[in-house]
Amino acid sequence: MNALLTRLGGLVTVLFGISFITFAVTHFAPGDKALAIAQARYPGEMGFDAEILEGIRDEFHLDRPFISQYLHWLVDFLTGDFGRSYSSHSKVWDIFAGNLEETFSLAITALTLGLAAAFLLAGLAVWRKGSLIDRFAILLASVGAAIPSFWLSILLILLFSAHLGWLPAYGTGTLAQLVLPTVTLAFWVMSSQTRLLRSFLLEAYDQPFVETLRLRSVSEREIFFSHVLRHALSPALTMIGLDLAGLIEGAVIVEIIFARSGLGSLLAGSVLARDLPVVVFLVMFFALTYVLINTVIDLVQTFTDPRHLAGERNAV
Amino acid sequence: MLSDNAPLLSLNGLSACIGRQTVLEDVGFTLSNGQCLAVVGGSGAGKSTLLRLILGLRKPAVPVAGHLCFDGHDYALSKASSGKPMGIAYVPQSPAHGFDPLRRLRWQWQQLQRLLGKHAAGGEVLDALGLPVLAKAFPHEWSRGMQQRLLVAMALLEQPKMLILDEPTSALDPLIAAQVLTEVQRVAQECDIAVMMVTHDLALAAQFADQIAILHQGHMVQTGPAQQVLTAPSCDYAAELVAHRYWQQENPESLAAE
Repeated sequence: MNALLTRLGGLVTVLFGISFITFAVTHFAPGDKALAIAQARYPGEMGFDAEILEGIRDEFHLDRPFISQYLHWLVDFLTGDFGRSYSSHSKVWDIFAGNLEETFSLAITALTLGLAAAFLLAGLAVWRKGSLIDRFAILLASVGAAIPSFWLSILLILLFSAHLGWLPAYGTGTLAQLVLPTVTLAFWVMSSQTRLLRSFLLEAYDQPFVETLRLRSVSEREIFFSHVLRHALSPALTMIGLDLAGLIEGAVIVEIIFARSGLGSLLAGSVLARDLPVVVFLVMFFALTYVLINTVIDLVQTFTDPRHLAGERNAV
Repeated sequence: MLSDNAPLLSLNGLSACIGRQTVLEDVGFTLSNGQCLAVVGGSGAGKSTLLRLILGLRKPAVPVAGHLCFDGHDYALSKASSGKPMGIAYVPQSPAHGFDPLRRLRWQWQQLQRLLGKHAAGGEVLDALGLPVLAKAFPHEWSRGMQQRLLVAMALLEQPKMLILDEPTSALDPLIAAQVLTEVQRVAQECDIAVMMVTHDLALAAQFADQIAILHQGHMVQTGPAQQVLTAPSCDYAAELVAHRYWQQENPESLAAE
């Protein structure tokens, strides 16, 4: 229980740190913020009256000291007021909510497919270690890790959309449009996880008790599913958690290339338009997701490994 | 099936190599029902290789010649694996070698029962070794001595004719090791089970074994009744081992200093 509280304390500290850094970076970014807001508000116009700019400074408290602005923003943020977009005037939350589902479905399908492929490949590789299957798995994983996703997506578009005409090259909404972006991201997940899973499984097989199980005539199938897989799962979970950060990054690139709506393309668009409320909110959201997922994985591991649990019990 | 005076196990002319290096050469011994044999030797003498080959494990050493006869069945010790001979049960050297740390002890015990198809015998074996009913404990929640005793119980559950103990003292402190071995000795005598243990500890061998075989650099340099080996070592290495044992007994503080 103590460990849980310590972790939660650490989590809150990390999130405050992130919020401060994000706000500071956007605050001290070069350029006049009032001008940026004005440009977003009145697209097409170039020169602005000093009065308009002054009004904007007043409205957004831009002339106050940095700390005061930060605290102001923080209180708003914590009370659920995430501000409005400079450009569209819509609430940041509404924009975010409208884009969340696209990215979520893309990330989850890619993660599921990629992990399923990785488990299958790594399982086969370990089952016939040193065989052609094993070498193929290693090769595929290395090649996959070396291919950047923007390049793979372009190749996929060329082959399946331009050349064969089977799948749409861009857009959001239909299942067919989800295929190519998912494959791109799933391939990335698969190649980063296959190699790791393979070595985690081999490590699990190397534990001294496995030989004793064989001497007790436990079948290879039971050794794999009831013993080895459990031992490999714990380190694998950690790596999958780390991969999630990469998946978010990947989603940005993939969403832009396939012209999909979603948090990735929203983030890229907002950065280019200097729509700071949206940028800050998205950065906070990604950070929160990442930190939360990793904390949950940590906790799951602690509570599923009886030895960790004993360690915590003794420590308390 | 067997006449009373035929040995339970006889091993003849076992040679094995790892790569090009010969690790065992022309090793052989016999063991009768209810007897206890200790194979004694330093590290690298080939003790574990010998044990692994008898259990049918082929890594890392490969047998090149040899013949094993156990309980009336012949096993050619050649390159192809023949598996563990029926009727031999193995007690691993430490709990880490015997239990999956992520599974409850009761689960692992029941797994073995399921494989053996002997649900009834379990309680008696646990009783015989003074073990409690297996509750929802994980291996690390038991003391090492208890875990090791449970490993012996799991070996006995197979109703073997012979037990093989691998370095029974390496993972336990001397007192607990002696306790576990005393239990093994008692149960083995009750059920007429032969015991072969592999150890580097001649003092321990002297305490528990009827027969001692001394293994040195892949050769069995002396085999015979324990008393004979201890009183009349037949070669320099055996003499050195025996002398060291008495030296240890006379200078117990040297052990504590180690």
